[in-house]
Amino acid sequence: MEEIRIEDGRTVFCPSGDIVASMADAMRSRLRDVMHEHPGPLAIDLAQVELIDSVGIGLLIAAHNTLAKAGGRLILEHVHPDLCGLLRTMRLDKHFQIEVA
Amino acid sequence: MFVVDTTADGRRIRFSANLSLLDRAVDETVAFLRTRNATGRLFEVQLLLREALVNAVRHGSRLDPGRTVSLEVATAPDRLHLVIADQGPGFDWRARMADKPSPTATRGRGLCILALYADELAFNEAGNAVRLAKRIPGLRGPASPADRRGQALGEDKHGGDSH
Repeated sequence: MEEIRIEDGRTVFCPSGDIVASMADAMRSRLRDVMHEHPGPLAIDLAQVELIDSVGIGLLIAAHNTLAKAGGRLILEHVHPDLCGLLRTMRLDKHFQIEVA
Repeated sequence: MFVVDTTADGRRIRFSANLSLLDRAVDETVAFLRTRNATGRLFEVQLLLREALVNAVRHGSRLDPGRTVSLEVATAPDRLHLVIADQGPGFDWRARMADKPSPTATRGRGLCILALYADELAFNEAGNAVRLAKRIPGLRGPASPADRRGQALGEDKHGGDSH
C-alpha cells in the first residue's frame, strides 16, 4: 500500500513496491485519485521501488502528461541508479525531473 | 496452472496467462539463477523476463487464463538463455521493432527495452515466441562440478511443482 504525504506544498506519492504490470491498474487508479484530490505539484518517491517495467513507465508518463497539461512536470525522487539508467536510456529524463537515490 | 519442470540445462515453467503468475515465474527464475551462482540484483535479467512475459501474457494471450505461457530457462557458463512462447497468433514484430514510441506515448516500450538490454534477441516468424540471451558473469552451466555434487546429494528436486 502506498503512502501519501504533503511536503512543502507538493504531494509526494510513495509506492511500497515495484511498479510492474501486475499492480499497474490499481496504482493508476490510486494515482488518478490522488491527482484529483491534490491538484498541483506531484512527486513520486521511488525509495522502495527496485524495478519498473514498460507498463509502469507508461503509468508514469500518463501522470506526467496530466501534469504537463497544467504546466507541471513529474518529479521522481530517490531513484535507484539502475532505474535511473533505464529512464535515461529511454530518454525520459528529458520529461521527468529525476533525483537519484 | 503453474508448473515447473527441470530440464537438462535449467527449468521450464508453464503457467496460465495472468499477471500474478507472471510475477511468480520471474521470482522462480531469479531463485533458480541464484542456485547457478548468479549474484547481485539481476535488474537487467528481471527487466528482460518481465518485458518478454508481459508481451506473452497481455498481448499474445490477451490475459486469457485458458492460454498457457511457457518460459524455458537455460544456463551456460556466464550466459543465460531464455525462450518465451505463448499460444496466441503472434504479431508483426518487424513492424513493431521499427516503430519507436513517441516521448509522451504511454505504451509501446516493451520491445525497445528487450532490444536495449538483451545481448541476443530473435523472434520466430509468427511472433509468438522469442529467444533471448544475456551475459551474466559468474553464471554456471548445468554440468559444473558443484551442480553434479548437488544432484548427487538430491538437492535438485524442483521438477513437477504443479498447482
